[in-house]
Amino acid sequence: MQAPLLPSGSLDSPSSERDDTTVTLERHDHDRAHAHAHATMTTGPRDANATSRSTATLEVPALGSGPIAVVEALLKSPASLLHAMRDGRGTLGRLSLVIAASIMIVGLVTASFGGGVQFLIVPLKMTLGIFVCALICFPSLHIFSCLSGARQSVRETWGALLMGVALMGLLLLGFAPIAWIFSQATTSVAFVGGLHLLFLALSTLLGLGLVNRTLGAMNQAPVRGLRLWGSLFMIVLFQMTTTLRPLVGAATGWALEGRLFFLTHWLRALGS
Amino acid sequence: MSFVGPAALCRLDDALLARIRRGEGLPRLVASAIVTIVFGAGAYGVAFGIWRGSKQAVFSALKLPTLLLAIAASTIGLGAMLAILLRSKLAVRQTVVCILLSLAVTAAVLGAAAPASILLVESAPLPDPSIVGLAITDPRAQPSLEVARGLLVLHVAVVAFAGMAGVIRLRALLTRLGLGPRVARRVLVAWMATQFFCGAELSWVMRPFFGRPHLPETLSCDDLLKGSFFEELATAARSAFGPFAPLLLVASVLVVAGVLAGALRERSERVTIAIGEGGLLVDGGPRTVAWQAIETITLSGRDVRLVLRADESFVRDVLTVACDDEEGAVGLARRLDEERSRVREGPFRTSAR
Repeated sequence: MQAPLLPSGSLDSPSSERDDTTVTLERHDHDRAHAHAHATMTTGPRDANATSRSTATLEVPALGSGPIAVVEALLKSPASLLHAMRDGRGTLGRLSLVIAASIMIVGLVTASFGGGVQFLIVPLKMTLGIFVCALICFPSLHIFSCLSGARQSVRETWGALLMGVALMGLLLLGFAPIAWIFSQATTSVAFVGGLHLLFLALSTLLGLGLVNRTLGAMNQAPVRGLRLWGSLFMIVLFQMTTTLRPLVGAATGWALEGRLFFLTHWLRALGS
Repeated sequence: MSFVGPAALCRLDDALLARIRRGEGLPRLVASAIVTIVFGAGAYGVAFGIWRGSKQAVFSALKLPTLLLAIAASTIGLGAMLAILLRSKLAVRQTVVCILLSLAVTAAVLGAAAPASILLVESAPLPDPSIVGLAITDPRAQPSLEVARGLLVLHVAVVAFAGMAGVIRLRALLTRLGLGPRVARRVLVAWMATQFFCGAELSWVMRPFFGRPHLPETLSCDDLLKGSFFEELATAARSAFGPFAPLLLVASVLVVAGVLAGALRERSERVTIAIGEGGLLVDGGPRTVAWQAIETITLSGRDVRLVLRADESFVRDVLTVACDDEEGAVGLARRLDEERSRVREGPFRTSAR
């Protein structure tokens, strides 16, 4: 099958502008071509006015009721959550519930290494810590996204952040059985602490990916500069694990320990 | 729905696949896989422990199936989440079945190899009962220890072969369930990584399976909860490489992380596309990309990049079409853009998708 000679079209150039250059074409067999296919999360150009963009709308399954529906939507169809969030059907509250429940359970698993009163302290510390961390990073997320031209509301930014944190909590819950096995088999605080940090980092990376994609979907185009914000979020999260110490190991009471930078804490733990 | 035997599990019969695809009778399938694991791995457990003694054979026959089931139990939740996040479109129940089936295939292979292994083990010189309680360095223990090392190599080879068979069948299962090759590979890598990480520790916790000739037969060792597999690995590295051990360990971790990240990252893959009436046919079908789904078309040398509209998981696919030359790429891009514009402008054409 051969393609006909084509007039200049309305292509999107790589620099996200229309390429109206007229090119004299010869007949080629374009209909069948070798292709490289790969998926990316954010690849579209920022120019929302590009005339060659398709305007078809995405059909989204409706969000069911209950926290399990939120869990399912987080994993399979975040678009349903975004849709429900814009309709204002208590989605933010349900997301917060999922975060609290999953982090509480993860906290119990983390506490199983130290035992005793840690079963009470660690889940509470971790749940509060994750919300405080989200609150601390929320203004920077909104401002950073606005700097790159995003137009979502403050509430929507908070929703995107909660979605990312909720996914992080769910993944930590998935890692919990493995973490529990290791924490029961060893007495090394540094090893178990390192393992929890590894799982936290992996879960956070995937959660940040969802924040990035959600903001991109809200704005119909990728939001640049979120990697920088993601690094900030990671630093705050790691510092929070040090500020709220000891999360792994024996309890030292409800009061916070002295000031300590997280890298110093890690080096000391490795040294001991 | 009937019980499925180990042969059907290994063959991955069409009826079995249809059952998993439809999600029908999955509890029976799970039960079939568990029974296969219990008997298959149990049989090889006997082969594992029989050289050391009958008690050790019983212990290993109990512990090997427990190990496989424990690996499945502790990784199924995470595996299901990862499968969804990697866009496999598998339901949680299907994930459970897939993971258990791969372990069942491994157990079936182990069970099939058990008689031959038992024969070989029984042909080897028996351990000297007088060396029980001696130090591992005692010269009187060395002949039995040498035999033990040889048999251990045999068992490791058999277990590795069975594990590979399980992985290969799992890949076939995922592909035949309709996952694209890229998605199947990524899901497989994610599952294998979590199962290896968890399995290494669980097998460490449940040791000994083989039983050392200079130690009494035992269900579990004394230092069961005093360390982990990876700490032991670090200790072994310290004694082998001295001051270079930390550097070596960090380098190893980075290499493993890099390999995993590379395997989990979606790479470009050569496919063919054809222009159909309603959209693009990728690899001659069955995947069709509707014209409306193409969000942007960009040119980059001989390549034409098609950024597709984000799906409900907010992920955008990018198809890069490599043409013979730049003119061809321009022509193809214009043709695609024209088709896409025609569908946008003419409502009667949109029904053609």
